[in-house]
Amino acid sequence: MNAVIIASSSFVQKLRMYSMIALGIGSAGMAVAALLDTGRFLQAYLIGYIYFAGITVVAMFFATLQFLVNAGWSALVRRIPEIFAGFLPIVLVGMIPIVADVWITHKLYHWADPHVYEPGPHFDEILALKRGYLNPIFFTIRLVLYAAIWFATYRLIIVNSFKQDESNTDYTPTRLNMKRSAPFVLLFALSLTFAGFDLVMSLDPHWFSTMFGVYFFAGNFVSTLSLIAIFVVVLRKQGLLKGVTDEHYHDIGKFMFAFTVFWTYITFSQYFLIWYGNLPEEALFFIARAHGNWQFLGYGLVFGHFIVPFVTLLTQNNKRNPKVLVMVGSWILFMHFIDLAFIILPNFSPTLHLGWQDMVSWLMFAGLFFFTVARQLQTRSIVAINDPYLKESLELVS
Amino acid sequence: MPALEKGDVIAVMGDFKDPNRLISAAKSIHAAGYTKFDIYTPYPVHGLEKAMGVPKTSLPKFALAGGLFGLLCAFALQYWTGAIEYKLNIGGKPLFAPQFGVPVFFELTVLCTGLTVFFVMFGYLNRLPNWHSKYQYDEGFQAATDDNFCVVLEANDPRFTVENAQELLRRLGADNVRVVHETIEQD
Repeated sequence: MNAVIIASSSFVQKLRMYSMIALGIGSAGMAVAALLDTGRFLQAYLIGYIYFAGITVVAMFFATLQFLVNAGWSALVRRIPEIFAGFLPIVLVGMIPIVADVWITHKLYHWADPHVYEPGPHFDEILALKRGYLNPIFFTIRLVLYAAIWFATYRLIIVNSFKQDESNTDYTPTRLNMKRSAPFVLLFALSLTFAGFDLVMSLDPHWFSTMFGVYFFAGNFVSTLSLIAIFVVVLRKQGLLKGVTDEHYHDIGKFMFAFTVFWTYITFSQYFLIWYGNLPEEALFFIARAHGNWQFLGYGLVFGHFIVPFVTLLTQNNKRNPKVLVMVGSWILFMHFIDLAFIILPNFSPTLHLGWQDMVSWLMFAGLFFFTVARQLQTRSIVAINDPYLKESLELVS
Repeated sequence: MPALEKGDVIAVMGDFKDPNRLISAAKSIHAAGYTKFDIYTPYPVHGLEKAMGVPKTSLPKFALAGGLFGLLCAFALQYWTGAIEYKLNIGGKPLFAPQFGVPVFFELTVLCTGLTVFFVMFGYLNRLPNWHSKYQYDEGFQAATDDNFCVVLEANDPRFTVENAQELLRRLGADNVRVVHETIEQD
């Protein structure tokens, strides 16, 4: 079988054009935001960055996971998350403004300000005790470490999966991936958990939650699945991804359903224990978010991130219906944005201030992301054509 | 063992060894308009129900009803005990709050859904427990628990005649097509 290159299709052309428009509007907006208020710019930047960095890293994890469990059903659609993973270089470069802020401007992370450690009006006893972990040097080392882990995953697993396209007799790349995937899934779990702690949880350095890592993962995973679902539906509709059947929709829909429930379970467990324990150092996170108008966003999440996808994806017919899948997928992607805003922004303002800066930041990163996807599709086959499980995936019956 | 005596014709049976031929045979029997036929297999054969034209199960509706009932019970239980009948102030928490109610809501919803599904599926939809089958003396039918796919065209189907059923099964490639009589046990 020959590589399936869809570069000349109208889908890729349109993706490229719209992503360039989004990138243009987004970067112009971000430039204005940066000139007006550096702090607000960085908050918005962090939301957009985390949104697409999360999708990229989790997409790599998803592909790795398929190798780890020798999944047959997904061989036909696995190339889509692998192409998402091509955004990784920008994820790594995108860390630079965050690191720069930690060293120079101290607008995002309160703990990065050296004044909190020195005796004086800004002295913070708790942060002085946490200084061994929360300091610019160790923070930078940790980010470099995550970058190294993710880069290695990309080089050793994703690129290796592309290599399999070249031969249909020699299955060494796939065999290697099956072996390599196990340690990389472990490394992924650790790196994403600690990246969540460092980049997001430490925005409120007094607060801590041991569940935060898995909470962060759950939100990212369900949105990655939604994006995969949307791509699968659109590509099939355009006739670019042949062989996809309702059975694949059904399996991805089941995945989305399961991880919607997983997200709710984790989110509620975190909230529940803190609510019940009612200890000041833990409760402050929810005190900021359950009062004032932030609480409406919280109720919105219960309704929008759980009840809507749960009820819609509950029935078999809806999971197999491409229209419903695209609608629920887009809705989940929107709710994931709200979720990140709900986690990140209340650290900076006691009242609701979801602004245009956050939207343009999302637009800028979305533009970059989909532009990278379109660029990848210029040369990469959209199907892992020589995957030994491809036949099984084509004959999938769930 | 009690003495056995033959009664009326209750079915025509045929055996298959190959699951793919079994599925195409099931399709043909369904297409021929038979509604009262069944296939006994030693393990679940993927796609067989679809080929046989078995209608979608009504189990999800029962599951939903059971789940909502459980949710309601959990709410009533916690509200009544907490806020009406045994008011206890524990650590300054409200007498009833949805926050602490959730685990019980969840557990009772799952429990009631599970029990409903179990009893409705086995007891109501499948009429179990059932200690015997009227086909149990047939050797091919017994082998369906081991290495045989056994197709049974039941005599109470409106289209059923012994000749037609035999002819259909032979044409579909069934082995050992046989007419099965009711077995009457004499004490």
